[in-house]
Amino acid sequence: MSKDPKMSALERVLTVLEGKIPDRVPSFILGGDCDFVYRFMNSPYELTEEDMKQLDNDRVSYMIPFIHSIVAKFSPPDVLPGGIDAKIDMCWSTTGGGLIKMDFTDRVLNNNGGTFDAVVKEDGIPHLWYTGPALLKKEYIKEYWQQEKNLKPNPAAFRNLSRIRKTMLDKYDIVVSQGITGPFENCVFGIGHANFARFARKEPSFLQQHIDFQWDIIEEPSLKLLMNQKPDVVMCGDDYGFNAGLQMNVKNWRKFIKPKLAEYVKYAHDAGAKFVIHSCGNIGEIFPDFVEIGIDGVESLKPKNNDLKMYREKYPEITLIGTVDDSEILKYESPKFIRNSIREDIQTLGKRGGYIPGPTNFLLDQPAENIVALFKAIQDYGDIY
Amino acid sequence: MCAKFRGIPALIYSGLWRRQIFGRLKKDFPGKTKLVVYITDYPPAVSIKIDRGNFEMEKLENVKELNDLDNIECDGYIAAPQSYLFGGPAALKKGIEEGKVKMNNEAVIFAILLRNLQ
Repeated sequence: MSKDPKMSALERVLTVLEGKIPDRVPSFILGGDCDFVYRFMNSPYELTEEDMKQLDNDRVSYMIPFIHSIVAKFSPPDVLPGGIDAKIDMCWSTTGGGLIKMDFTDRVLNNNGGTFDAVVKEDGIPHLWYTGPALLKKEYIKEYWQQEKNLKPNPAAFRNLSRIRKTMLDKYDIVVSQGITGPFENCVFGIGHANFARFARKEPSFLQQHIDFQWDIIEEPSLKLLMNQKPDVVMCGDDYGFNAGLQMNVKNWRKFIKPKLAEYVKYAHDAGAKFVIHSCGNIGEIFPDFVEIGIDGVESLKPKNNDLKMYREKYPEITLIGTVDDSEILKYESPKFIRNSIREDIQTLGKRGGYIPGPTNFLLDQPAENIVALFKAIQDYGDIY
Repeated sequence: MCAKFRGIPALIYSGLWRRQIFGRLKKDFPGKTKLVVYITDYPPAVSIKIDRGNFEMEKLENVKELNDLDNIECDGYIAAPQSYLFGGPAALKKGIEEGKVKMNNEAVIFAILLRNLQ
């Protein structure tokens, strides 16, 4: 059984993000795709009818990939009688915009101009994901700008986010960080990485015009709607890295993306919230920029791609979130290995606060027992202060 | 990758799968029903059978035009181009007027299919 907590999950998370020492190390999960849901619901930890009766009464969301119903299953038994007692302190939910239809393609597009698809594999497990950019020509981008009225965010989606956040906090003592897509993903999901690089080099004013358009029509109105709902922690997804470094020249990141990201941070801080960025890959090159614009936490941080000890020493202002390799350790190692590994990580990275461990990305095909082992170990070994 | 379904049929499948895996399909749709969905610009059509908490989806290669739907035994059907389905009720209404959308037993179609388009 878990010890009596000295802090609520919200106090614990905010204490860490403020650079102070909490009662114990908090934990975090992004969510999980259908593959993981299938594995979890066919494991000894599956949600039972009794669990679901309570979750239904509390109106907990079953939406994939944020899987709040499964996150709640990790609660201690005094919160959910069938709970696993491997408490998760913080999870995530975001909202995008609506869908648009444009003349040059038969595909229905996301509001950033990207395509998405649902696929059902032979094993019967579905997958829904972004599948590539559609605004591949300059004239398509200009046609997209004409869609202005169809791109505006839907206030109801933000009210729904707020309801989800309050339910999880009030009934399950779980913080739901909330956000929107970041400025880089909004841009490249629509126009593609190659166009981003080409326009940055040959037509920078055109690229800036597109980024400004998305800021004016999608991002700033979305941030206003989001902050009206008064979230405590804002987390936006904006993948800048790949395994060995940034997906773009750092000069281009600083010129085109950093100013907009700084606006995101300002919106969150002005409303009294903390700001966390989710970015996959090796992003060490822009950690000094994160400090400069006041980002409170960075999430994902796969240990093979990032020098976490160096980040901890050099950038104490930034909370390191994630760091537990989802595609190797959590997929292939044993629960015992995972327990030992997170124990070491907590000692190395969390001794002076500033650490919220969890899987580095959405869960996919990891065994459920490994994920349970991870969160039990964070709960068991997190009491180091 | 070999896929059983893509596009809107896969989206509908995903919604039903999510209900099934969390044990909600039986609660939400206790009866037995068979529906047909034909995305006219993304064939083939598919049939969806729901029966006591389980569902099956199958491709129907023999549906080539809107009128073929009248020859299939089912509790309801919808035929529409993709953009009309994503456009919501207003777009569907417009599509019916234009002869591009055809529906039978709208109540069942709305209750079971359209709310599963995530």
